[in-house]
Amino acid sequence: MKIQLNPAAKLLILISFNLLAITFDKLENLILLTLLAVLVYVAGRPDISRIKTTALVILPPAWGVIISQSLFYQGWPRTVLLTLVPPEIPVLGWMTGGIYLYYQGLIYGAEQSLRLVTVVLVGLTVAWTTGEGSMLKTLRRSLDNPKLSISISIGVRFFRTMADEIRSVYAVFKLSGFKLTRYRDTVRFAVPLVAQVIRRSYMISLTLFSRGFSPTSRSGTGRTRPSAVTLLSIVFLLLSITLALMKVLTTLFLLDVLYIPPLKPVYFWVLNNI
Amino acid sequence: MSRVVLEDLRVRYPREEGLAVKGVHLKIDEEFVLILGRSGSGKSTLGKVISGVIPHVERAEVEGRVEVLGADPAKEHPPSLSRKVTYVAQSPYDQIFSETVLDEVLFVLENIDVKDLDIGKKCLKLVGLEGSENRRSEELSGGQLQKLAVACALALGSEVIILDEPLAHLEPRSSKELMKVLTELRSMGKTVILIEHRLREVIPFHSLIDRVIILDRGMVVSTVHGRELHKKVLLLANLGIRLPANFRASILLKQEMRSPMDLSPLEKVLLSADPVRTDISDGDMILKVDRVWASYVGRRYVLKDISLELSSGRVYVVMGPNASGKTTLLRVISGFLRPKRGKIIALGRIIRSVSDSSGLMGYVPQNADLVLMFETVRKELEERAVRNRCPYNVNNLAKKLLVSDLMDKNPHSLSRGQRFRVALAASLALNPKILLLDEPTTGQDEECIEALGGVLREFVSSGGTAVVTTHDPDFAFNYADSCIVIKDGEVRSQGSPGDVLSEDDLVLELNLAKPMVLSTCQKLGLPPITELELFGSVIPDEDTAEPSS
Repeated sequence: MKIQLNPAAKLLILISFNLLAITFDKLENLILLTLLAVLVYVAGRPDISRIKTTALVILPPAWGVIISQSLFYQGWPRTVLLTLVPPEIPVLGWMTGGIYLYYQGLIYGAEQSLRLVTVVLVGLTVAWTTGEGSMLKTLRRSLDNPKLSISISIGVRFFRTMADEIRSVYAVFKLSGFKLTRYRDTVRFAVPLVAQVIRRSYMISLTLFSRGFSPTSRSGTGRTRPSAVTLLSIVFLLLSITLALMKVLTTLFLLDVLYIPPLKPVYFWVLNNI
Repeated sequence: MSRVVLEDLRVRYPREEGLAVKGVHLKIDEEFVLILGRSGSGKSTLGKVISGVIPHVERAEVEGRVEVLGADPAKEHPPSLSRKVTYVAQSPYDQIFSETVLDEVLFVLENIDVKDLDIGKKCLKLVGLEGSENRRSEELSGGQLQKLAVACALALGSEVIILDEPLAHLEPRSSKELMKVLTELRSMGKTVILIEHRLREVIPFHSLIDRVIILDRGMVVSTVHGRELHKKVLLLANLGIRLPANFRASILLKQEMRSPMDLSPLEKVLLSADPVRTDISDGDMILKVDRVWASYVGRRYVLKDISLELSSGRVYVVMGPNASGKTTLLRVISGFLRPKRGKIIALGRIIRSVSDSSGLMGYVPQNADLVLMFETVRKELEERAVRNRCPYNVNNLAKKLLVSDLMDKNPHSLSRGQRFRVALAASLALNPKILLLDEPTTGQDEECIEALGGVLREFVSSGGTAVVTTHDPDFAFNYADSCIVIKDGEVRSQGSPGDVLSEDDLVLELNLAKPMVLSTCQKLGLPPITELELFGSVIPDEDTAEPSS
């Protein structure tokens, strides 16, 4: 079965995952959330090169966080899992008082890594399955200003072209024997780029004119009713926001900043379940 | 009542002394009109005035009466004007805003407050883009982008559609498809105004064109039916229009043609030809492309295992359909794009980045504007020549590339063709051993193509190597020593242009065009003779040409 999510729904899901990743503290919850993120990632049908990229993006920092937290965990209590350098070893052992891997550090590092993995997996899935155009269309529809929305569209549409032009100018610049370290040459580097901007602005005006665009008229599409998937995403987001709010209130209570007696069951629930 | 009425139209651009259009009287009905003239003849200005681009987008003083479907375009509100007339500009690449094909048409419908999605789909179907609705616009070829622009005009409901040099960026098959779409529009009752100076590309469709309006220096100098275009051969030659080979043969023999596609004069010239051949021996190997694979970030391979050995003293043309990897090949050679696998070796130096090719190569990208960095053409050439101890006299270089009278002008103020020639002169002023040119013939008229070819031949005769990408089979056949055909990033054929372009299956499969001279040679069973060998200089003597009235 193939589910097509619109960009708005994807954005809502991404925000929800981010909120939940920050909200959850219990390892079980974080594992569950990560598994859900893996499901989302698999549903995006990544090819082998994307899986490799994901592994490269995720594994080094996740592994680094777990190891560094296990090694340098400063909280109490802490249980030694493994002694890497005993304290009686000359120099390094004497200086550090021993180097250990702590169980609590390992768990803490794992929690941080799971947060990272969740956010990265869902983020990459959204980025890879949503074209900038459809993301832009969502943005444009949510704006009610034709001037602003068309400016955003054009900016994004030609961003890649301009980046490519900068690279081309740089190539020609170097082939011509010019150097960016010389002030006079730096000015030269900008000339073709500025000329391109002017020429493209004219071209864009011309095309907008021939597409019947008028900055004074409003977009005629109007607002459309959100789809069922979008509604579900909104519910998911609302749930995430509620949990995040409950967590914030509980944290404020724990910090002795704010205590609201009727919320006592909420505090308990959060401390026991989130 | 005529759809377009121009009465005593005069147009002057700000800061320009002369008039761009001088007292034009014209009436256009439901017809397919070709406005023909060389660069600077005022044909684009005419199109811009009719479409309202002048004065809505561009400023110019306009005098006289302009009426499109009974209204003055200058006084119409753009969205309502676009329902009457649409102007499709030259470059298809800068004209698309949306991610997908359908979105672009829907953007147009949004602008005119039409909510019916089916209209957009119908318009795409009419231009042959059915089934491509969800394709990303960046994946479309130049021809498909032009068709999309026409679909947008249809979505607007425009009765008059003006296309300004739409064939400039198109490969032969795309040109053919676009012309077919335009003919269909005509049969739907639309007025199609095609502005072109590429007679060679248009001539196979002459019978579809109801009227050819020939413009020179802002004036209509002649009007003729497409089927009778051959009767204006001397006038066209005199105006510097790039003539098809059969037209040139008819001038040479002073023989009248029976139709624009009458090949009998060309056959006669070919049968009596005894061209002087200069055999070019292979020079030293100067550039090696060794099993190169290349791709852009996050994309598939554009070049796949390409191997080439290029010698000094030769012009190599790289041909192939759009998106076949021609430009990428130049980028890899210049060090602009690093190959994923394989290597480039130029004069014994491995090219890994532009720093490695600096001092060895000159590169003019398709967008030649990116080369132009100085306030005047003179500085553009002199600064480079001085820094690179160029032995050329820049004034001579400018003269050969027909830009000597532009030396004190800002290069960015010049026409596209002129800008490319200045960029080429600037690259030659670097005194390179290898010259890389991306589509140099776009926007050039006959005289300039001849100048460009001449400079290239001179460059290679002094030991240089030129690698040129082009869609122009005539240019390839006339000026290249070797032709490399690539498709989908792989070399499909390599050899002399005559041999490669004689491969019928290849030409058909890759949508290349065959030069008229070559196909006639094949028909007559003659060995390939280039147009240059056959006619020598392109421009006929002034005294043989009929005066323009």
